[in-house]
Amino acid sequence: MSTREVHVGNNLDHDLVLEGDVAIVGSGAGGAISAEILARAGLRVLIVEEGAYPTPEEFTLREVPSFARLYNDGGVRPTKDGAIAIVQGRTVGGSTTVNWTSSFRTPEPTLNYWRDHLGIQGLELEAMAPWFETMEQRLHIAPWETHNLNNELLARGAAKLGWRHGVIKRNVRGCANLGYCGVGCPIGAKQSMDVTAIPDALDHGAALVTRVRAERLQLSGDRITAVEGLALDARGVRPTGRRVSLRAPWIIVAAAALSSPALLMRSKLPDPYERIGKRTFLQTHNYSLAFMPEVVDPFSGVQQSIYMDQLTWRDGVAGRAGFNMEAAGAQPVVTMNFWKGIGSEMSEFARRLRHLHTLVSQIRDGFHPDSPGGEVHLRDDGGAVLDYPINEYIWDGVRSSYLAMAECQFAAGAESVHPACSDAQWYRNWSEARAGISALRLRSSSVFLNSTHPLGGCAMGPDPRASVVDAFGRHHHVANLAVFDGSVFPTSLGVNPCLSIYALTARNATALAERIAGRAIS
Amino acid sequence: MDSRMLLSRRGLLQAGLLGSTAIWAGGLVGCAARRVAAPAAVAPRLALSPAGEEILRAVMPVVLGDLLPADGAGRKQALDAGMASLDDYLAHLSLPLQAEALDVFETLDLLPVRVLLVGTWSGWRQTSAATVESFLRSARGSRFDLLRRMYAFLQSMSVLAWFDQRAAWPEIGYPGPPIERPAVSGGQA
Ligand SMILES: Cc1cc2nc3c(=O)[nH]c(=O)nc-3n(C[C@H](O)[C@H](O)[C@H](O)COP(=O)(O)OP(=O)(O)OC[C@H]3O[C@@H](n4cnc5c(N)ncnc54)[C@H](O)[C@@H]3O)c2cc1C
Ligand code: SF4
Repeated sequence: MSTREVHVGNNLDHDLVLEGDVAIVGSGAGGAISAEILARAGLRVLIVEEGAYPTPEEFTLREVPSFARLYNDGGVRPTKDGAIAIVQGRTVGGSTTVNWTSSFRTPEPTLNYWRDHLGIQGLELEAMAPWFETMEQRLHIAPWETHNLNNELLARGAAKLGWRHGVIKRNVRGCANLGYCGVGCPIGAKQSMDVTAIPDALDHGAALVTRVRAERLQLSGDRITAVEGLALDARGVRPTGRRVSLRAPWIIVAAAALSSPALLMRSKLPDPYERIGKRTFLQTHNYSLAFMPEVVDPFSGVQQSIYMDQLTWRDGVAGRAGFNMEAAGAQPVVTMNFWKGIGSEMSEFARRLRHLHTLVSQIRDGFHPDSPGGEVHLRDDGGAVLDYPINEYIWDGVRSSYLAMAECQFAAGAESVHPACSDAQWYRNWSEARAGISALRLRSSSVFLNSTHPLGGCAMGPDPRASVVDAFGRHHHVANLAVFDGSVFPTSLGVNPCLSIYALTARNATALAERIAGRAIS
Repeated sequence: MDSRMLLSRRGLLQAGLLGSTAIWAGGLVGCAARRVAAPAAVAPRLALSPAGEEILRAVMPVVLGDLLPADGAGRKQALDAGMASLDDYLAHLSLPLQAEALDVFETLDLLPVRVLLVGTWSGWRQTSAATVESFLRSARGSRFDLLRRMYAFLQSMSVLAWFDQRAAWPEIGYPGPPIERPAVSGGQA
């Protein structure tokens, strides 16, 4: 292993120009897996990342400074009307560095929908299976069997109700069951990109430039000649004035939903059918709080290890909004943020934190005419904002999932349940909750909603009139550009998305490597 | 007085309030870097304005109730550490979002807004906890999305400012992180 080539943008005292075979924007799930595959194929890979590159030893395990440093906009990037907070990583490894490790293959109904309704070929269950296997091996993805009580109670409630549920697989190696995945795994056990694919790519000759924001792709004819970036200060907020240029014959955009389409828009790439930024999905998350007679200690132990998917496809793939259910316990700031009380409501709630049980539902979107997703727009400063109005289709999903979560928590023995909504109340039993939630007024800013799964905006598909890239991630109009990240999904997924991004990227980056190298890559 | 009535009756205030926070409320349109670091009233700050600090110092004890230490020194330490931590947090947000936060604070500090919405002629520092509490409660239940958003913003700033502090943990039974790591920000108490 030679020394790894890492340029720290905030320390640059001169403009930087790098030349290579492939330039990649973003070092998260899609960017890092691409970098590893292409570097191992013998290509000179250049990666530009807006975030910094802390090591596991530098993670503080403290919530607020970690949200400030490791997340985009402190973990609260708001949608245009402010109703939903979008949570994304902004650090080497992207969201994988702060994600909760829950690993699912893309569900069959989703893959079939893409084939049957969107004409996408080659991503069927059997075709994708080898790519899932490859990534599961690469990232040590395996079922996790030590459940904390927060997860155990989800299993208990689901079993009582006869709802299908199961054990979550996780990408960990030597996990100490600490439960701090969201602020960066302090012991490097999580197989996130910052400790796996990025170091591996660097060991195979890749160069990484941190704290530099890709501003524009330089288009010349039907090809991109360079990625132009601005070095940022140590906080990643203000440009320092230094410029960075990555020149390569092949360009991969992997800046994630919102940021990938925004980069294409800023670069004024051809978009004859105005598809860039459209169909951005959130799998909007809503939450339910319950007090249990037993001590739950939601802040310790692996956060997510049980899932419940009985209701994900409840009305058929193209029917009413379905949702999955998982546990959502975490450290105090995250957990207390679900609760919008003040004064004595706040102190009484907080003093019972050890008994708190928290569930999250993720409402799948994009499979129904009333669920077209949101649109990315550029602000005057060039940044992205997502316009995602919440319509009746989504509110129906919110109400149904509030009902299901409350039913599940009472079935698990809850003493009281409160949806994470300031207009709701504490309900003491299931029939009270059913009546209360059925009559509950649902309105923005009162219902606590966020999303750690923004997807889409550079949708894949065979038809340029309906999509931005093809099913191999190749841009429809720019010959040497590919998009390899969560922005290519044409719908949401119905499960946590990371493994789907790893597997699709592995397939598409391997195809690209073979094309560039002119030979098969094993 | 009920803020709902005020907002619907007083076109002027409504226009002013919505206008000046339109960026924060209506979406992140326009408005890149503005003045972000204002001269500090209490301590040198990177992103938290003096108005913001004064408002949050009035709001935080109301939101957190008797979770905050009762004794003067302990309470002062909790508020000081909370403000330093929020300043560090805000200073890492993108400039448009920093500007939105400043806008909210600036609006809430305008005399007509203080008088009509909060119900106080004096500055936030002199406003009683009871007055702040009744403002927060009416904002939470308001039929105006803008006011509900203000409530959610002020409430969650208070949560951020307190629950990451060691002093907060014994009371809620959180043992703290299993591994000790050095602090990275001035606000980490
Ligand atoms: C808190 C949290 C918990 C999660 N938990 C789970 C989970 O348990 N299971 C699961 O499957 N998924 C989870 N996810 C989601 C999952 O991690 C993401 O879907 C996935 O990482 C997205 O991959 P990506 O390649 O699209 O983008 P990301 O991994 O987000 O990477 C994008 C990178 O691009 C960088 N970037 C953006 N714009 C630019 C630019 N202009 N110039 C340079 N760099 C740029 C960003 O800083 C970022 O590092 C979670 C996400 C979060 C935030
Ligand atoms: S649970 Fe703890 S040890 Fe395990 S991966 Fe997450 S942070 Fe690391």
